[in-house]
Order: sequence, then C-alpha cells, then structure tokens
Amino acid sequence: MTFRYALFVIVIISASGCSNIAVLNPKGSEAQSELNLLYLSLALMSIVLLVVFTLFTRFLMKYRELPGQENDFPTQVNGNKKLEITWVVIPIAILTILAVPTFATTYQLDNKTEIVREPLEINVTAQQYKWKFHYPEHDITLENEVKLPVDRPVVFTLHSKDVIHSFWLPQLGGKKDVLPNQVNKLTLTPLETGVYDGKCAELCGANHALMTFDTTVIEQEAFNQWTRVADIQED
Amino acid sequence: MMNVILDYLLSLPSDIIFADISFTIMLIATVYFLTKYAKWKWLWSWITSTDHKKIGIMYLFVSFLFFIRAGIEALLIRMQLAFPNNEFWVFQGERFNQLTSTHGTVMIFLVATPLLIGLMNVIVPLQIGARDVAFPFMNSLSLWLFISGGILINASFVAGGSPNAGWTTYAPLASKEFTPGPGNSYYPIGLQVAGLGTIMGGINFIVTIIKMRAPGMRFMRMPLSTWSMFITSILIVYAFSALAVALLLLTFERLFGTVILSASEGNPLIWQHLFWIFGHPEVYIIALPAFGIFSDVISVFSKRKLFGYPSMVFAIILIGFLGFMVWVHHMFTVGLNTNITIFFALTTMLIAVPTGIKIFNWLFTMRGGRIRFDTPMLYALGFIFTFVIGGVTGVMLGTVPADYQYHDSYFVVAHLHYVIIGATIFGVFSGVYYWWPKMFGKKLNETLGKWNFWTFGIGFHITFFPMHVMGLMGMPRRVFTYPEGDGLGFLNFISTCGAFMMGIGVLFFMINIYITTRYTKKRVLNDPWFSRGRTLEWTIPSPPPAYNFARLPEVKSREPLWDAYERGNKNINFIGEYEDIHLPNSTSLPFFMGIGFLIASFGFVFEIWPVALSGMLIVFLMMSIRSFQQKNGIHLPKEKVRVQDMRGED
Repeated sequence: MTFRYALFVIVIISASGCSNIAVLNPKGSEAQSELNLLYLSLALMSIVLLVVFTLFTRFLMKYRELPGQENDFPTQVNGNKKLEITWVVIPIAILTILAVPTFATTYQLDNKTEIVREPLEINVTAQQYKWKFHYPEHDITLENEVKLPVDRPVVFTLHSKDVIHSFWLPQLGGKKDVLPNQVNKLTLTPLETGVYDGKCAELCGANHALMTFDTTVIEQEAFNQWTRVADIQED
Repeated sequence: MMNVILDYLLSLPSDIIFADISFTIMLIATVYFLTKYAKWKWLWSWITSTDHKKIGIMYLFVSFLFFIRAGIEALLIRMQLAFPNNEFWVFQGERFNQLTSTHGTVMIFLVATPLLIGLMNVIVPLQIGARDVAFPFMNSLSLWLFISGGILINASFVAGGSPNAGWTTYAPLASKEFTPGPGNSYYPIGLQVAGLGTIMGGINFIVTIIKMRAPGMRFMRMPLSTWSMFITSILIVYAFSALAVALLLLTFERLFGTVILSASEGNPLIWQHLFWIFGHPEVYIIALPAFGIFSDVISVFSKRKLFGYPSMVFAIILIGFLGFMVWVHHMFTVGLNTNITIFFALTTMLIAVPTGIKIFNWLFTMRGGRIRFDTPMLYALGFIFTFVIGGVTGVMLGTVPADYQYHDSYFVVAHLHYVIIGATIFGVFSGVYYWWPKMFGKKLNETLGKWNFWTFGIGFHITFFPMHVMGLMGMPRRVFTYPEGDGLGFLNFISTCGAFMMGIGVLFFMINIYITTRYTKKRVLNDPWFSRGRTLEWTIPSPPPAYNFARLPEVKSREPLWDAYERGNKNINFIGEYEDIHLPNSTSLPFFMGIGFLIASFGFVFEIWPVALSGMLIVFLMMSIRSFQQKNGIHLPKEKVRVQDMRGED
C-alpha cells in the first residue's frame, strides 16, 4: 500500500514535469557536466540506500519479538571482524568512484575561464536587489536582463557594490558568489536558445527574493545585430 | 501618559502586538498558577538547585519552550510560502528574514544544543556511576547563561527587531552599514552569553567523565551515550571557542566600528571561515549525542549487545576529528582556490565512512535480537530511515560541481533538516521517552507516544522531501516569495501541509506529558523497560535520590545490569559500606549572574553604557561573593542514606 502510494507520488512528480526542474533540464555545457555528476552520485547513493533499506526491512520483519518471547535472553555477540571490514572497504570504493570524476570536473570548471577561446566578456555588478550587466566590448549596459549568443562561452566577471550576493542561472550552470572585496569569474556556455531565469542565491537583504534577472539566449547572428542596434541607441 | 503608551502600542505592527499580548497573558497565567498553588518556594528550589538531574530537566524544559516558539516560526514561514506570490499577514521581505533568521538561530543554539546538554546532564553521571557532575556550581551557571542568552534572542522580536541576516549572519550584511537596527546586535551578544555557558558545560563534562567514573568503569566500558557525550564535550570546547571569537569580532564591528569584517578595509570571508570552523563541528555536537542515545536504545530494545562496540567508539572519535576539517564545504561557491576546495571535498566524503560504520553496526545489532517497537525504539528506527537519506544527500552535496547547483538552494534546506531533525530531534524524542521514567518515575503513555511518532515522522517527510525537488527547480533558500507557473506552488503547498502535521505531532507529545503527569498513578521500578536494561542508570530508583548511588556500583563489564539479569540476579552488586555523602549547596548566585548578564546585554545591544556597566557590576559582585563564600556543601549522614536505600529496594 505504502509502496503503491510512493509510486503514485513519484509518477505525479515526474509527470508534472522534469522539464520544470531546472537543474535536471540543462541548457548549457557547464550545467550538463554538473548534472552528469548529480546522476552519478545519485546512482551510487541509490546502491547504498537499497542495501541499507533492504537490511533494515528484513531485520525488522525477521527479528520482531513474538508473543511468548518476552522473557528470552537472545544470544549476545560482540561483533564480526569480516563484516566490519566489509562496510569500511565498500564505502571507500564507492567514494573513490565518485571522487575521481568529481575532482576532474571541479578542476575543469574552475579553470575554464583561462582555457576558453574568444569568450564574450560581461561585467556583472550586483547591488542590493538589482543586477547590472555591462558588455565592455560593445559598451552596452543592461539592468536585470542579459542577452547571450548561443554556443559561445561567456565569462562573467562578478563584483558586488554592497553585500554578498550569489549569481545563479540554474539551467546554464551552478552559482558563484558575488563578493564586495574580490572579483570572481564564472564561465557559462549556453547550448540552446531560450529565456532562462537568473537569481540571487545568497541572502542579501529585504528584497533578496525579488533580485532576479532574465537571460535571453539568441542566435549568434541575432546577437550581433542586437549589439549594433543597442550600441547606436545608447549613443 | 496613558495616551502616549496607547499611541505607541497602536503604532506597532499587528504581529508584535499579538506577540506582546500572548506574552502578557502567559506571564499573568504563570504568576497566577504559581500563587494559587503556592509553588513559588518550589520554583525557587529548582532555580537554586545544583543537582545535575534538576538542571538537566530545566535545560530540557526551557529548550522545549524555545522549540515551540521556533516551531511556530516555522509554521509562519510555511504559511507565507504555501502559495506563489503569497502575502501572508506581515511576513514579507524584512519580517520574513527575521522569521527565518530567528527560526534557525533558536533551533540550532537554543533548542538542539541545549536539549542534548539537558539529556547529558541527566544521564552522564548516572551512566558512569557518579553522584554529581564535577562542578555543580558551574553547571548551574551554564544553565542560567543559556537561559539569559536565550531570553535575549527571543525578546529581540518585540524589542527593536530580530536578527535578520540569516542564522549564519554573514558579514557585511550583518554590519551596521546594511542593517542598522539593534536586531543583528542581539545575535552576537545573545549567543556570546549562551555560548559561554555551553563552553563551561563542555569543560564540566570532560572533567566529570575523566575523573568521576565508578570503580571498574573503564573508558572502553562506558555506554555509548556517555562516550558520544564525552566526544561532544571536547568538540564544544574547541568549536564554541571559535564561535566566541567570531561573535566578538562581529560585536566590535557593530558597537565600536572596527573594520575587520568590512568589504573595504577588511575581509568579510573571515567571518565565514570562523563561523563554519564552529558551524560544522556544531553539526556533530548535536548529532553525536543522538548517535549515542540511539546506540543505547537500539541495543536495549533489540535485547542485543551493541554490535562492534570498539568500532562504534572509534567511529565517533573519527567523526569528531574529521568534523573540524570539512568547514570549507559550506563555502564551495565563494571562489576559493580549487586545490583547497578539493581537499575539503575529500574530507567531506571521508566522513561518510565512519557514519556508514555506525549505520551498519546499528542494523547488525538488531539482527538476531528480539526487536520491540516501543516509542523510543520507533524514534531510533525512524532515525535510521531518515538519517540515511540525509547522509546520502550529504555525500551528493560533497561533489563540488554539483554543489555549485545545490548550494544555498532548497536542496540544502532539505538536507540539513533531514540530518538535524532526523538525528537530533528524533534522538531527543527517543531519549526523552527512554529516560522519562528515570527522570520522573512514570512512563509516558505508549499509545500517545506512537501517535506522536507517526504524525511527527510522516509529517516530517511530507514537509522536507519535496524540498529536494524545489531546490533542483531553482528555488534559492531564504526567499519570501516565488513566481507562479514554475510548478513550485504545488510542492510548497504539500510541504506546508506536512509542517502542520509535524505541529500536530508535537501537540501529541505535549498532551502525552500532561496526561502522564496528571493521571498516571503507577510508579515505575528501577528498570521500567521490561527488566532488560543494560546500563547503570537502571540499577537505581526512578527518580533517583539526590545522591544517585547510595553505595558505589561494581562495574565488571560493559553491560553490568544485563549480565546480572542473565545470571538470574535482580540487580548488580554494590560495593563498600554506606558512608556520609557529600552534596553541593544550592545557590542563587548563578541565577543572579544570569540576570546580570541579561541586563548588561540589553545595555550593549542598545549601546546604553550605564546599563551595560551596571549589569556587568552585578556579575562581578556575584563572582566576588562566590570567591569569599565558605559553603563547602552538606553531608548526608550514612544512617539516613541506608534507610532510604532499604526503602527503595522494597
């Protein structure tokens, strides 16, 4: 019964759309490699969950105290070396499988800024409850919205004017804190056109929840066109 | 004059008026009932008590009050978040941040930690066969510092505004430049006072456990509860010292305009490092004692010896040690050097190994046993189920690149509640049901206990499981609203329903206490758990006399009582003759020191120096009185002890 109910809930949630679940529906290469790790860790951890819950249910069913056993003294054991070694070694093995790709991806993502060629540079200035995006190449400034070309790496140079914020575009990649005393860089590469939600992920004051921005990813050609028009309009 | 006061009151926001009114009603009711039943003297005897059991019970009681308060805040948070673009009462923006900040601060510092310290107080001396803790006066002082810091943080809501920069209170948002009101001054000053008490408590229990064990109670014979509380005490001393430094910096920043944590001349990351050097061990400070409790409970209710005792002890020590080396995993997105990040990711993953050892040892303790499903055991089983999920998401959070997505999202909110409620709160419920007969001589009602467990447990999963998905949907934590149409509304609504179910669970617990205290007539024996207790606390009457052990117990194994039962005896052997027992004096000094700190703290928060000074003067006055006091305790004559002990055996 419980099982059927659980199944029902899972079906409802997945039917209501994995497409709604931003992190599971990546539109950028960074978000994709982060998602791969999510699936890897989830798969490995499912093994752990399965083993524990199987033993758990089995032991609970098998070793319940039955009527008439109340005054028994079950045999007492101190432990079992072999078993205890098993549950040290196997977790270490599982963690190693998880650790290697984790570390590789971390180095890859953290150093992307230096590797990518001809990225689009955008200076992001966060300030209580608004985001300013400045394109130094085209000298365009946008507020609470950013336009990006598809398939071209973008390097966001993040800086805050007041408190600590955090820059998060779930469908394009993970977050990076925006600090007032240090410049952070984040590289994202959108792979599909569309409009994506961006938000502040670090509590920054009363209107933290409202500090959002729209990200529009458009075709490269359209982007070039837009930069020309916007540049003229600004002048 | 009346008009002025009335005008002021009417100018307040409705929630504060409501809080004021309910506070006044509760105060009047308390005073009325204390007077009506002539209980003032009784109350004073508790306030001035230096008996570790009474201090433990007071710790439990006061932190339970705070638990209710912060629980109500949780319900308010859930009501504001029940629907997209919701506007519930006044809890948007600023007020919402106050709600989440105090909910977190109170739950961590004034609920989870002191609940466990309360159980520590009651249990540790009983389990090691001691007559009291090493420093009874300091123990009482710990309690009153905790209460006084707690009152300060709780009063902030009606007196000038609560802390509003999150329970982590990151600088520079917490500095005066961005949050000028008194709210964020309450945080460092209140926690400093409470934290001082906690450090003293830690020292007290380290000394107690090292120096006051009964004859034959070697380290490797101590029950797991005592072991875990011993390691926790060591963690407390180190971790809370780091917190004290951090709080001092923040206090100076706010009161005297230093710039250490500022963005321009200083570095706000100093706060984050110091806070998490405290903050991560704190997770283990509140988890380890729960692990200990579960070890005892699972073993007693499965009627089996704890599987792999040495490896359990080793795992606790390892977790405590590694706990100090993982703090940066709270800061993966800060933009630190990748090598640093990797190191801390590795240590974070490593901590899963000793935790895994513990889980499997618990499972194999049950194998081959006779498992009973009394309420303490239900909570222990609920813990295994819940904590494994929380632990697994913990490892997921340790995979750095994926953490870039989870960090500061509802995924983290889900994880931390799975771990803290799953371990600490379940642990405290389990421990309270388990030791309630020892504390009060009556067993809590089992039927209501089961209702309590199932509503609270199922409500918990309904509340927090959807939060994993919300986080992946891109909902950051600490937001007071979210837009429509992301599918978030449905999950949030389910979560809110679950929160109310948990609330009902807590109500069952309160009803249970009331009904048991009021209507249960049956007093329990030494060992109320079907005479299959294993450790020393079940060898003495429930509730125990002030001196706990009339004669010292003889400890020859890890589980002396169980061994006695197996040999067909009714109790263990006690050794030696009856002797005069030394008991500490009761004292009102810690209570007045607490009041002194309270006055001083209000002075500091509002920067009214004469008030601060007079408060500190009271504290120093009490300290000097204590220095010259010649109260060396009272001696209970052996004849009286013998008579009481004989009566207890009937």
